[in-house]
Amino acid sequence: MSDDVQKLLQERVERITTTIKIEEPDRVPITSMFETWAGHYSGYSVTDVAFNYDKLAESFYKVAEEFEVDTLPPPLGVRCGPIYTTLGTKEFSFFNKDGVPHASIQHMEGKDIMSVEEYPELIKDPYKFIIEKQLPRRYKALDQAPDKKAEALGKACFIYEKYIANAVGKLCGTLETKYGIPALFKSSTEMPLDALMDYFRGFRGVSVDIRRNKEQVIEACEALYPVMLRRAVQNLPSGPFPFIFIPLHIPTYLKPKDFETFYYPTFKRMIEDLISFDLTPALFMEGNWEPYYDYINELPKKKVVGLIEHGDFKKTKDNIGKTITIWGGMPIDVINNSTKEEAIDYAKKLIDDLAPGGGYIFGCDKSLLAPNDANPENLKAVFKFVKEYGVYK
Amino acid sequence: MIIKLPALESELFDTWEKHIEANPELKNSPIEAKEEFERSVDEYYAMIMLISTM
Repeated sequence: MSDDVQKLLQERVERITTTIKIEEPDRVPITSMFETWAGHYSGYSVTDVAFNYDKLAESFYKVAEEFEVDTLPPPLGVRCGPIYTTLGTKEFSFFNKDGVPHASIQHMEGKDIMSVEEYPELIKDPYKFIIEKQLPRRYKALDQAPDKKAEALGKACFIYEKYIANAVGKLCGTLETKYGIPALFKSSTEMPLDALMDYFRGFRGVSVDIRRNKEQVIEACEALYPVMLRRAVQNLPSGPFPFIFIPLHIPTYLKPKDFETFYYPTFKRMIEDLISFDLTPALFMEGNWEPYYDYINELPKKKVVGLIEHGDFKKTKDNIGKTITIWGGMPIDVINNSTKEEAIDYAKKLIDDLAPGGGYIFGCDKSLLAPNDANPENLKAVFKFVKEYGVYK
Repeated sequence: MIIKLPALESELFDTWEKHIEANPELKNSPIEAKEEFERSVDEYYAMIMLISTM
């Protein structure tokens, strides 16, 4: 790494670490959730970037070169195509039956992954349930005789090693050493109730279960807790940056009382445990979290980042801006459906409202997936503006 | 500091102790053998988590 790149990297890391202490750095840091959109921007399809790690890397390097970002997420949102096709996923699809790539990765909620009668089995030994029941119901290649299943898992291990080394390790390493851009995340996980919904019972199943099987839902969240904590932290270096990415899916579909009963206990414990390891949870707060701001204010101060998707951002800053760092705010609708000047005006208001006192990371409100998710020229203009206007004086 | 958690309490989560119980001839293995075994358990767990919770 050259001295100039080293200096750039240090400046960016310091900018972000100062921001998350809710102090004013030299300027507002900039980043967004670049996912398969990065490939489209380089002229590559979803299939290209999910299956060819060179094309994936090339796409992210182009973003690093052309957009004024301080950090970039590892390309986990692009997903490891070969592992899904080799195992015969029943849920994820990268291309249609004729091999034509989709505009973005398609996901159908899994069917019959876990019945309500199987709660005791999941609660007793969640890891065993995953290996013996959940995986065979999600992947055709794991629903075979033991010898065939072992062969499929062996192939998956090889694919996984190559994916981590190349698609994640090599790409993120080059972003650091060539462009001075640190990775935004070093790991990810989900909160137990989200995991129960996403990978076991589905949205409909969990919605019914919290009415009819209250105790089992609570016990399942407790049982999944160590599994999901381990997923987040095992073998990680401690330190506040890069962050631990945690998308929050179900909370805003819950009544505040149900949130408190079913979600909040393991949610708060996960955040406190991550902080105890000197890690920074970065929560993707999907939906409108305004009814839950009191819960957010019970979290440890100045230790958490929240990517806010909806709401009145001035109100967000006033209500939870002393507790967590606010990230996001720039609607991709505005990036796409406004003139450059209108988009810049919107960004200016965000900086005026959210930047004072620190604790604000500029970025789009949603992940960038499909080709039309962001007009690149407007996005570049907005990032360039924020880099200049977001300087603390 | 590298974060290490205790083994998961599960019938199927492998540990060095279970491995030695099944293969007592390995009980005097050098520490490197134990460390590499545990590394492989962690890698396998990470792969299982990738396919089960993504």
